[in-house]
Amino acid sequence: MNQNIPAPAPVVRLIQELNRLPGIGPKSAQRLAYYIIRLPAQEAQELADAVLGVKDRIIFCSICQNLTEIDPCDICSGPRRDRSLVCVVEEPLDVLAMERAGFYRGLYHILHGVISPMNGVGPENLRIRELLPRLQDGSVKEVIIGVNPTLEGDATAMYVHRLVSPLGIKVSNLARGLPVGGQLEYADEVTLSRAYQGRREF
Amino acid sequence: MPPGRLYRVQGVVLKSAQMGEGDLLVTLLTRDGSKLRAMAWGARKLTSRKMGHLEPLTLVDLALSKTRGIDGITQAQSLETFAVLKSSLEATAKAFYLSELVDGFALEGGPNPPMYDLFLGALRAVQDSADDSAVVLRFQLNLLQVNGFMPELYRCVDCRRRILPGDHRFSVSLGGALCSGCAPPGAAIAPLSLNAMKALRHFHRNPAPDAPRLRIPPALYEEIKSLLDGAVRYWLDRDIRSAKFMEHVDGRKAKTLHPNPSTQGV
Repeated sequence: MNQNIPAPAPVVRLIQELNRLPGIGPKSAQRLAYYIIRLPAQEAQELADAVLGVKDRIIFCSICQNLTEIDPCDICSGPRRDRSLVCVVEEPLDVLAMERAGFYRGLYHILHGVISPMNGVGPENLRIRELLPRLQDGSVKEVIIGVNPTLEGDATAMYVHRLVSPLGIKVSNLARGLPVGGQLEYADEVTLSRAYQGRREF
Repeated sequence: MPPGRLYRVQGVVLKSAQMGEGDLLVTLLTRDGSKLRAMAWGARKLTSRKMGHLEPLTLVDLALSKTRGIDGITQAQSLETFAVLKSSLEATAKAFYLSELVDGFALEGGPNPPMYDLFLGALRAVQDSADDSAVVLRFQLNLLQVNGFMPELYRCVDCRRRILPGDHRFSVSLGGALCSGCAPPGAAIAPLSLNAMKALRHFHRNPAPDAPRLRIPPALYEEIKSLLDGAVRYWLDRDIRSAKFMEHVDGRKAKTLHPNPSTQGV
């Protein structure tokens, strides 16, 4: 479709590249491309530098597998972190969400995805095996599985639980149930039953 | 049906894909056995009223709005969530595999009610007995049957003579069993043991997923699985990606089923 755009070749190429980004359709790509064309040269250069910078300087933390500029990352090397807790999450964005909430002071382990057999993603395609060496020295007392409550997330949680539980480490799951602001009458039976199972005394 | 009209559909969610900021593209096998893709706008948002009902492997009742493009899901109500199945890694892995097979064979706008009944029955059977690997074999064979790809098990696909016990081989590309006297040039022919033939005929004569269980030793299981995997791969013309995970989780453990196939007639 972009090949038919009556525009100079560099503009068409920029539109095509932007169109490859998630959530950016052909129309949005055209708008962004023409916005970039109108940018002052210095701002366009800064944008290009930022894109190249993340590719040049961002690496995976050798401990938690999060994206970082220095290895180990700030969280893994943080002196005030509770090293007895490891929260296993799907993506680096989940770490940002947990950190934004501000209640968790433990460490993380980022899987970079979930087991998705129908899409050809198995345990070997995730950073699951990097978790086990972290649990060998006895300092970790609890692994908190914080993957999304989807079928694929649950399968991943069960798989991680199966790997970790023989080590004698407590494995817990983030609570599932009714969302704040949600309505009971619209909850599905799985959500309701999970909420019931996880009820707490006032 | 003109755009804007509402209609209702019951079906099993086969898979879903994240779209845009908070939307979900849902693929279902509907009650008439056809595949339907529909968009659930905003379903991934935490307060969505549809989110929990649209998980894969859920039997749902949907209200949809007809559009010029892909239809939109306006309401969703789960009818059967297969919660027990989803609490077992082995059962979930098998269900992923069954879903991928159905997704491969089902056609959009191509009704096939027996396939729906077969799939729903197989999910219930996996839920009831996750360790029964014959459920998958039975499902594979009968999925081929309801889609018109049933391998011939009673007559030689070449000379059309009745297959005699012990005198048989198997060719996926020729469409089933061959007698030992026939060897069409260029055909890939695999051995087919007597017990494998008995088990395949048992699955064919007893298609219901809750049919009597068979005791299938591991070697026999591997033989039948290899034949049926080959047939499925041949007709779909691709590998089944979730097979690897199912086998990984299953760990190739011994299959213990009842009764002995030697008690079943050929």
